[in-house]
Amino acid sequence: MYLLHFERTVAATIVQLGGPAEWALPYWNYSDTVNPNARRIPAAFRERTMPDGRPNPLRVEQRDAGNDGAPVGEPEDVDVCGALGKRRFVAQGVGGDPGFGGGQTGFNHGRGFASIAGEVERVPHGSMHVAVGGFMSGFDTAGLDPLFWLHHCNIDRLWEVWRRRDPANVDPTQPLWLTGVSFPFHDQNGQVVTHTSSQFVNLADRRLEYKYEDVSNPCVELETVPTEGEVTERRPEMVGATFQPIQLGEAPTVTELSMAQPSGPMLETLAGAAPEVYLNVENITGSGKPASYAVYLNVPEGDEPEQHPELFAGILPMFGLDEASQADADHAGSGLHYTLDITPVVRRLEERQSWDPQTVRVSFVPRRSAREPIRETPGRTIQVGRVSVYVG
Amino acid sequence: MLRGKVGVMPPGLLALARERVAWPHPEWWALTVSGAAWLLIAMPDTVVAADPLNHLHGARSVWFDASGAVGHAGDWLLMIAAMMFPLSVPSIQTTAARSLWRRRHRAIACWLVGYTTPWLILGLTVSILTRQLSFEPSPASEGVAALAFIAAGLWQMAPARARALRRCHRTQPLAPTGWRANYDCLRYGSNTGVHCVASCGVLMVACWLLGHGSLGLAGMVTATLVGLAERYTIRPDQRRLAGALALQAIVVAAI
Repeated sequence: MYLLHFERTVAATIVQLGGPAEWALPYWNYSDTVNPNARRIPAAFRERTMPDGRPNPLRVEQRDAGNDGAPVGEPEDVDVCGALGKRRFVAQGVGGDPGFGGGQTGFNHGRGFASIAGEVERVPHGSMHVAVGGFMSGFDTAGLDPLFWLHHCNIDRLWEVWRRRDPANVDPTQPLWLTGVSFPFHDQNGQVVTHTSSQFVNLADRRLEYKYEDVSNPCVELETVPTEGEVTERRPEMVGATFQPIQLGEAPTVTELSMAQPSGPMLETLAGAAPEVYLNVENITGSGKPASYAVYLNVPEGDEPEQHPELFAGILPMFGLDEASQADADHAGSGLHYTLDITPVVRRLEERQSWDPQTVRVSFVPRRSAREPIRETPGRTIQVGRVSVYVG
Repeated sequence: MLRGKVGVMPPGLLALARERVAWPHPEWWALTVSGAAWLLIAMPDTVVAADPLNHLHGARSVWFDASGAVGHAGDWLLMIAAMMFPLSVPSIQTTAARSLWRRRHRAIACWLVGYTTPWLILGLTVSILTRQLSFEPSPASEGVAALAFIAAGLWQMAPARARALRRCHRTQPLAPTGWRANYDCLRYGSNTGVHCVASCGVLMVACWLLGHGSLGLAGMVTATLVGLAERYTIRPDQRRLAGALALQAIVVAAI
């Protein structure tokens, strides 16, 4: 919603300054598989000067990466197939499939179900915020980097890609989601206007007129996924968790947890079928400059995790860590909560007969942004409250 | 009719109840306890308190007596179970979902014990204070209750209360098994309880000051509805909720 009014405000200003009337907010498609430069910041946002020689206001010096023309982040930061492959919009429940959009936020963001980040929120949203860094890495400053608006325009576009990818991919239909909350904004004339979600679900709506150049599915592997059938409504069940909080730092951290067989409805529901398995990283709290961590499962002792891409479970971007850790803020200090679908890794380990259903070893590997020495990022502390495994 | 394990309930119905209620709603028994508490409160003669007719009556020659304390604790337990357990459903569900299936009800029980403890401490403190002040039911005492509802209405709109309410919904890591799991649930519950006392304690005291009887029951119903409206609507209008409490104060003062 805020993109609409930002776009209109900028467009009105452009017209006032004698610019084209058809200007529209662009998106940064860093996941474009046919563009080898997709992860490079577009030149207009990184050149030091404009064509007339004046300083380029779209270049932000505070960025941690990309101003030199190098690709931003790693391929995993822009891997949108995890999000686009989700079959449900709203999370399955505490511990289970986080869905495309995550848990339903009630009146409080810190509650268990409300705090679950959706898959698109984790990657590429959070991961690219952290990868660009600088202003982009903080809630309060992200909008100061012009890339923020292109990034979020792309997140909006991915939502449309998700909806078009499969007819079964539908938005929530509850009145609470559609019309339950009114969001106030200032329009291009400075007037206060209010919107509900229901006004933003149809891009062809005259009020929106959103047109994206490309809403095709970039994930070839998803084309092979059968679209028939309902999403299975299983109740996820926790089968194991750690006992102690885990501190994350500049070096890899490894923790191990024991697992039990499901003993509740999952036992009957599965009836021998292989369950989906989810790794939950709960109550991540801390402060300081956000970093990202890669998570690997069962890396053999002595091996570098990066040598085992087949054991890669996902990224944990710490975007919003400060805010989610503040006791007086919306999350009340509950912290971030990420759910990684580790089913593919478990299947691979099972095929290699190296999956122990009673124990799993989890490695948190700092990515480039997290490897910066603590002295360069004073005050950075990151603590994972608990790591748990759910089947669902 | 086929007999199931429980009474004459058909096995199919039992399975349905299990799948539709017990499995997805592990908080069912906490809500049952809450319902029972409402019934007991609505029927004061059956209350197990030491001074069942009115918790503001009783010996005042000593600052503390055991039977009176038990009675007050009973009164407060009933109020907490009736009013606060339904408001705690999201936290109870989170506790259950973050526990192993086989111990989820134990986890809920530990959470509820932890949650109830700060409330009981508040209740017994208020009970002792009112005894010390020889606070007796009278038009004047109901005036104090009306003032307490006004105070609760003002507190409803205070930013400090909003912060306390947010903290009521803070989640905590729970160990999966052993004494540590029980301890973590207790700690989670008590931390939640402390912040809930901060956010809703004034309102609870206002209800308690009304004593038993229809006026007290009406106060509790109002307070519970305000709490439910706050939690189950998005962006609740605090001025309206405060207005409801002010209306309750006017009713108390008028009666």
